[in-house]
Amino acid sequence: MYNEKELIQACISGDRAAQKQLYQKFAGKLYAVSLRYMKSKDDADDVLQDAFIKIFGKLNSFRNDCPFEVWLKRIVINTSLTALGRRKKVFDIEDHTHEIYDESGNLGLESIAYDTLIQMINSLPEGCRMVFNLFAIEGYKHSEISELLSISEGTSKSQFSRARSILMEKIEEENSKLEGRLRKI
Amino acid sequence: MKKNFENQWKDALSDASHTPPPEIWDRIEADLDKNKKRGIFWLNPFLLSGVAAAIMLVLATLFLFKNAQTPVAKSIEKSAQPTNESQSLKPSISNEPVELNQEISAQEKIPSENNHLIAKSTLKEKVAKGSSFTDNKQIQSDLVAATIETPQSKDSESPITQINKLASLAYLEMGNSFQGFRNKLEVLRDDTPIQTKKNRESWFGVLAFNAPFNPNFSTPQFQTQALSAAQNSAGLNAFDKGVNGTSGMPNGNYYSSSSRTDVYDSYKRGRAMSFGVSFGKRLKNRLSLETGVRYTKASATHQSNVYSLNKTTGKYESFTLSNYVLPENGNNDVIVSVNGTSQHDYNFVSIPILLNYNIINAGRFNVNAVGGLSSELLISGNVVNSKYSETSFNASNSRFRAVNLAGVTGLRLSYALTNLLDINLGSTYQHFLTSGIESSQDASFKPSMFGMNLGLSVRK
Repeated sequence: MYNEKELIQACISGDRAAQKQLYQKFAGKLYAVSLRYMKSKDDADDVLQDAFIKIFGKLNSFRNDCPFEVWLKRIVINTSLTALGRRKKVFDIEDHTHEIYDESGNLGLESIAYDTLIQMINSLPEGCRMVFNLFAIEGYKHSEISELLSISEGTSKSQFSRARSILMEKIEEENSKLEGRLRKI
Repeated sequence: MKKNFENQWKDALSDASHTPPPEIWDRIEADLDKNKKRGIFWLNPFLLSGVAAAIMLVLATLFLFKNAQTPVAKSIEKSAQPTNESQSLKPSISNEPVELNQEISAQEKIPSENNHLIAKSTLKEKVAKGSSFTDNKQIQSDLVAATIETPQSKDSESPITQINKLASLAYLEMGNSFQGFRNKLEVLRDDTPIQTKKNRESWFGVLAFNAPFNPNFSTPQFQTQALSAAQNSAGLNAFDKGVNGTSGMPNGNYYSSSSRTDVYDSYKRGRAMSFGVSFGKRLKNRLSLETGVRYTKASATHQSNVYSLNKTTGKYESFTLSNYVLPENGNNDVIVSVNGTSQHDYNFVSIPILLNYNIINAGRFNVNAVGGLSSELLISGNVVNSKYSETSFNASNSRFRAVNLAGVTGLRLSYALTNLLDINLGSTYQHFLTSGIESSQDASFKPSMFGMNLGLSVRK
């Protein structure tokens, strides 16, 4: 078994067993990322495959300037965004009215199944989904998202605001379903 | 502490993991194989350097061939005193191997209207039997060069004076039309040192060859046979960090039964070094026959996670070596475990028979294409599994064949250091045509090498 540094070196030298080991180590987490961005599972599969080909091809450019997992996730995110086209037209409906929320009550996400959370995200319109993932989960700033997606910062904020309200509705729905089930019990 | 909307999502999903479908790895692997095949040439620095060297050889030789035109010994003597209307030039051209003598009589005419001097030569050749096409071509080229147009010539100047004048003008040895300098004139005076161009009749040389060595050891049935052998082996256990077993062992090892199915077997390219002697004999014109004796030491690294353990001796080998190379041994158990490497060394003696064709003959430079067959005799081999196990083999105690046939091709640039000694640089590609393993085995061993060779040869 290799440590991370040895594993990277072995992968760079084309060692197939090491490449498989790297895949097995990170595929789960990276697949979870692609599932959030891509609407269908088939598309997520394709993104994961393309991302790993890029990863194996670009491993020698990894400079240890960030954790390896973060670097891998960036590649998956970029591959997802490329697959989605990064097209501005997905942000056609530009709504500059975005509300500012300081904090939310406990959303109760921990009681909602992982698959359901992914379904909720996948139900978002494409532009909202990209911005939501980048802002909420990956932690990018709106200014960074605007550069990444070639949109205005205002569009990024409004898309997130829209995603937030859609998701809030869905969470409420889900929570009420859960409460109903609990009452029956 | 209350968390905002996005942080709650981040907590819920940022570390999430979802097992991808198993076929994705297969697809990735297939893509990697495809890329490897596509990139094998461009990404392989050894192959690339070999090809680059070959291209450089050809380009360099063409450049030199264009510019460094070989002077042919020529003496010009006047057969008669020039008159106003005519004169004759009588150059005698000697070319040692073909004993070529020529008589050239030239007539000059001075057109009255433009006062130009034009020397027109008529050639009477006596070409000895066996003279080559190149020699004739060279003579023609010399004669063309001897036809000189000199707008500033005076009536009183003889053609010889004209030639000597031109010959004394500055020239650039490597001049060409791209540089804007004129090339060295083909006009030589009596005091020009004589250089001869001659085909070598026979030669004897020493050579060294250095190349990446690809063993091309292929075992198409490996997966099926290794798994089957492992399943048929009874009660073997392994200490394996990668597999969770039934009880913890010191140093993070686990005690587990051999139930892995991810068998793996591959070879990494190594290096081959050859030294030897060669003998050559010219058959006719540009074609020669070459043979010799060469010793080659080649190495490669084998990686596998399937091992064959001898229950009596406790010695282990890779399953590949034990199953395909070494003689049958019923006392072996096969186990699939962690990946390990072993170093393979092979010693061959080669006897090549090559045809050598002289593509370019430009003075001291020659470019030859070689191609032919080589008998590759396996003398011995050695496999080292880390420091614990070492196995030596030869053709008599293994399934390796003693005599194998390989195809050889290459390009060589040779430079005549002296009248007798040539230095050679070139690239050679060699590939086994027959498998180095007995055909009864489900394995094939067809090593290939593509690298640079350097040699010195004494010519006659």
